[in-house]
Amino acid sequence: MSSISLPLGGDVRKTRQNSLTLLINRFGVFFMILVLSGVGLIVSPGFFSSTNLLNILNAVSYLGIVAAGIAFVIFCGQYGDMSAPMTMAISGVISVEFMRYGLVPAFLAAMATGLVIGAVNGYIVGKFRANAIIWTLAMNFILEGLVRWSYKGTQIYPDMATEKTYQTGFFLPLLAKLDRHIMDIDLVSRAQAFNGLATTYPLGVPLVLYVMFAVMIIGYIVMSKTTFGNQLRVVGSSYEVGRMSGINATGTVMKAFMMSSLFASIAGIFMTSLNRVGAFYIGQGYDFQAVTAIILGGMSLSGGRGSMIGVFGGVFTLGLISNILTLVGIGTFTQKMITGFLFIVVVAVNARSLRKLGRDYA
Amino acid sequence: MLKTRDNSELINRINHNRIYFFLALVVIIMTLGAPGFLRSGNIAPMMKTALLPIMVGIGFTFAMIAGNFDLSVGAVINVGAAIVMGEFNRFYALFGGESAGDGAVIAAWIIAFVLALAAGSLVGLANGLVVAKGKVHSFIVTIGMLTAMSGFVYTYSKGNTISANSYMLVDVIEKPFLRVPYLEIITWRFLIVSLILAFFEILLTKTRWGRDLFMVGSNREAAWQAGIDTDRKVIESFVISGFTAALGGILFAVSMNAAVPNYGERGINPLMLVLASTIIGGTVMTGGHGSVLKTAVAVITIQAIFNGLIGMGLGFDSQVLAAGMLLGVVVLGEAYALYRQSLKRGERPSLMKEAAELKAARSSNR
Amino acid sequence: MSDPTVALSMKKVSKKFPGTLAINNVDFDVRAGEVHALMGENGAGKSTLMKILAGSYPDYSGDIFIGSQPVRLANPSQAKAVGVGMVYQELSIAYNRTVMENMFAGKIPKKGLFIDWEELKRKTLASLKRVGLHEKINPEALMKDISQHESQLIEMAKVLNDRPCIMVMDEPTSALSSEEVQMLFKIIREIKKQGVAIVYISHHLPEVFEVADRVTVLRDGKKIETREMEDVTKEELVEMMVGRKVEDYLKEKSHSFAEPVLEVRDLTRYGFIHNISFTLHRGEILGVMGLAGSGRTELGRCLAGADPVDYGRVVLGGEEVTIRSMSRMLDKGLAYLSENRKTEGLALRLSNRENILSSIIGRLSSRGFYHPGKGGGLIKELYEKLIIYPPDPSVGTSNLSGGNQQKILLAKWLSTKPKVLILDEPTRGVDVGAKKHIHETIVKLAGEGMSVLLLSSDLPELVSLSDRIAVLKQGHMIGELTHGDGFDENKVLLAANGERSVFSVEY
Repeated sequence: MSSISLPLGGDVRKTRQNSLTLLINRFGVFFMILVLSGVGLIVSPGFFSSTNLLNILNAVSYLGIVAAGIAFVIFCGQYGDMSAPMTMAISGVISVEFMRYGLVPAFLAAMATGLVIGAVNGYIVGKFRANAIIWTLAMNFILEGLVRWSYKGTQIYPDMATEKTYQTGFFLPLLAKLDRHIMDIDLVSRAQAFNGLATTYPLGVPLVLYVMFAVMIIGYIVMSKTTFGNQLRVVGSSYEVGRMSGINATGTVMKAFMMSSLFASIAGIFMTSLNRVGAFYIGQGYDFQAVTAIILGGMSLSGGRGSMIGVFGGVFTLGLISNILTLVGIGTFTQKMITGFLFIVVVAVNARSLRKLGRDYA
Repeated sequence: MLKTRDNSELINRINHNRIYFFLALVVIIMTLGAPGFLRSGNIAPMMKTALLPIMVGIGFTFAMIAGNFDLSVGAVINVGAAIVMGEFNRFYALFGGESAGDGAVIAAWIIAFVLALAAGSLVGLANGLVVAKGKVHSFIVTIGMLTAMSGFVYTYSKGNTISANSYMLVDVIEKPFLRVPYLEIITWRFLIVSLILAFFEILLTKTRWGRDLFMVGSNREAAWQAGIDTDRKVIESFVISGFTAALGGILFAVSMNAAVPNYGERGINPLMLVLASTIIGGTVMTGGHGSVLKTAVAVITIQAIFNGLIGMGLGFDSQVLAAGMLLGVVVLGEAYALYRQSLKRGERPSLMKEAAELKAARSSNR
Repeated sequence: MSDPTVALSMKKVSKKFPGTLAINNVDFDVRAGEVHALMGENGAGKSTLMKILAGSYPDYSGDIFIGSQPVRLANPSQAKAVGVGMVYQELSIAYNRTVMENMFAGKIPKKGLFIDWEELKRKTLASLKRVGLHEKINPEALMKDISQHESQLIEMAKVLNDRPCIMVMDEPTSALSSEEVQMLFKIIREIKKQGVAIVYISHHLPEVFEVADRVTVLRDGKKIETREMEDVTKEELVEMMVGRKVEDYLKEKSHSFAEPVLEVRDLTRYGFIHNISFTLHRGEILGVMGLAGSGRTELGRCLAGADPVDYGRVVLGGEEVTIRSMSRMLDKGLAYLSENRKTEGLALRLSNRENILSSIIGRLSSRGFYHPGKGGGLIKELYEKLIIYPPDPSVGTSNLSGGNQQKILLAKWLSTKPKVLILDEPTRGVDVGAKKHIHETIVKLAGEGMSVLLLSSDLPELVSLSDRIAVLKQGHMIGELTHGDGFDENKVLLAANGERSVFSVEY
């Protein structure tokens, strides 16, 4: 079919039509936001008040951070990173345990752990082409088991007494063997600072929101402006083409998974601070939610298409839907149901329109 | 030449039936390591826990054989559970409640069962239609459905646990027929699950319908060329998946006399367990190969590991770790085998003899 | 009809594609119980003619008779119903199902509700017997454990199940060893005895002489001649296929090449290519001829670093290189254009700009940031050089015609400014205009000093572009032809078929 050269007129028309669909495809989520905003205004006149907008954003800021990371994995043509929830949890407990070295080293330790998880996922998916969903699911299990086993199924609190942490903790007893003095560090102020992370409002805006925007902007730059991001686009569109273009495909896939884990780590630290507890269940459900937001934002599941702006749109859409439904008095449960159906409809319509144009489907 | 071929055939055969060897191995280790593992008082509750994932695994395996994932089963379990309990209470009250006698109870249960099973099948139908006709990846569709259905269950049950207002069925379904060691696992629930399992195993292996399903999952193009209605097969596999997931949830709820809306959202949830069992049981992730019986054996194997670990004095935590490791090893092993295979693709058999000579010459030169 | 033994006759069949007449008034007939070879170069119309017979092109003109019945073949199932069986080169196999399920998919025998396994096994064995596999193959074995050669025979058996009166085989031996070919021929003779008419498409002259009774040669969509095999010689046959039309050499022949750019010694990947040695000079186009399965593509992939190499010495631009990865070879100035445009060459959902620059993202970056703007001039230059339509690099590659896609692929590799460019089937599936243009570009680039290794199965292309032609057979380089020998398509084709007498230089 494609080997037959088309008459001139045909080619041009097709091109125009395609860029229009591409536009809708890429920014359709903002059209949805527009409609939802209209509905919001009808429902409540105070919809656009800064308090309400801030509420909407604050509610999805953790999701936004995780989604920005998983977006790299989906951009890479893999279906998702199901190990994100446990990466979040593990980062939480590690930052709590390493707090006695100072908050910054604790966070670095947490993020380093995240990067290791991402590297392992990426190597196995990138080199051996294991099914990403199933592999990361297995990884999530393994990590959950490790955390539960290491902490004997209990939780650790940032403001817990040192002796108690020694009993429940996993790293502290090991670290104490190296250096007895760390047992004597007074943690009260640090614990307060840690627990305060999620409730700090610089200039009246929650700190997490700053972090989410920072992460999104960094994600945007990495995805569209860097060497890695552009190579990822090629590998994501087609792994074989990427490999045959002299791109280190395994390495690129690895980096994508590392971005995902790194961002999940950051979200995990804040989640732990918000809940004031480090435990295995921190972050549960964020994997599916993030995929929902990313797909709503127009990123193609088959990889190589979409942008961080769309991901923000998808995250914001989820926030809007939840906010509006709350305003009209629909409970969280029904909201979940509506979001799920909406998701299926959006994806099906999107796939249909792409297929009509002879393009690949979502 | 011939000999290596026999060897690989043997390895293949072992690999196909790996789950049985694996179960035997687990049983031996646990018997040695965990005191009282083989006691009837240990086996019976273990089998009881396995019944839900076995039931759900049937449909899940069907969907995977056709080449799809049905992640929505995680929520459909709760849909079945909530509807059967809620609708029973509604119709029981409608028929007059306690004053109406046994007839009302039976009638209400029948209606509730039919409604709950219909709901599950309907969810499967919706999944199947969007996947087959809408050509959307099953993973995406069923994730959406998972979210939607778990929302539905909460809405339906208003976030509460629903219990039936009559104990009649509960008393019947979970009572062993015989109070004899080991035979005490035989209850109505056990029998129903076994019968359904047998039915679907026969459907899969002994009928043209089942063989055609394998063909669809293995090579859709070839199946289509052979005149098989591939879309219809995919849809039917999803309906079966919805049906068995709902039935699993129904039986589970009835046996506990409680439908918990968030059952399985924490810890080892049935979805993960079923997914792991299906893959460990040898069903190919890309479709075309698998067995519901082996999925069931894998469920029992995992339950035996869980149970044995507790018997060894290890906590629940080690179970999760073990399940993850098991799944990880299987997934990695299969991916690695495929990777090795891809390196050899296109190799010319006629050159292999010469290649061996070249290799030998080079190694002797060194 | 006059001749009762004629199983199939096609009268004045034509098929038009936009722009070309792919099949032009062809008369073709096959007798029951004969093997009729259909020969011709790539693009001569063999496969189009057979696709008409298979019902894939309902819009043909002319008449087709099966036996003496006139038929109109509008779709594949209709063709199947009138007794046409196609054994395809690309097999439609469900690998993780058993032999018997593959052979009887969709029509597995039943006894009551259940499958009649005994009957299925019996039918499978009966069917396998026809291809001589009934004692070798367990009907319950999985297809993935069956060798390629046996899979092909099983595919044949599957086709024979439908009791066809005409069976078409397209290059059935391309992946087989010589012993396996002999077995296949034995089976073909058996089937022939049962009165089935066999159309046998092949490039391999010795095979055709061995197995065929008659031969029909097509060239440029026209039938040249049908001959009895006994009355024809190899040389005559090649002449019929090639015609005396040997195009003007596009390349100036007078060059003598002095400066070696790529020296390859004993390059080996076990089981694929063994001990390949050659030297490529600056500005030279070295053609590599080899029939399907000769290791042609594998040679290109190994040199490019896409596939692992077991041993061998490679000197590129005076520097000894160890082939480790594609990116390393690209940096050293060696690029490889893959024969699979859609799966390995271009990411169809990206834009042309993204595709052209995809192999030089690293080079256009500084400190980790990518500056596609820097490639703007390059893209403009390549667009002008290759005349790519539409002239807008932001268009999605999937919207382009095959010819323009192939130009984008060539542009992608030219953007790396290679010293050595390996072209694997550079004009496959490309219209005539684009083909000519690509050829001219290759010659021009060689004139500017680029060295080209041209891997191709297209004889006129090889002959008109190459300065020398190396010949691969069964993973070995069996010799080379130079302009000094006055090479032409006849000689090249004979050489590829293993006729050593035509070589002047032997390794």
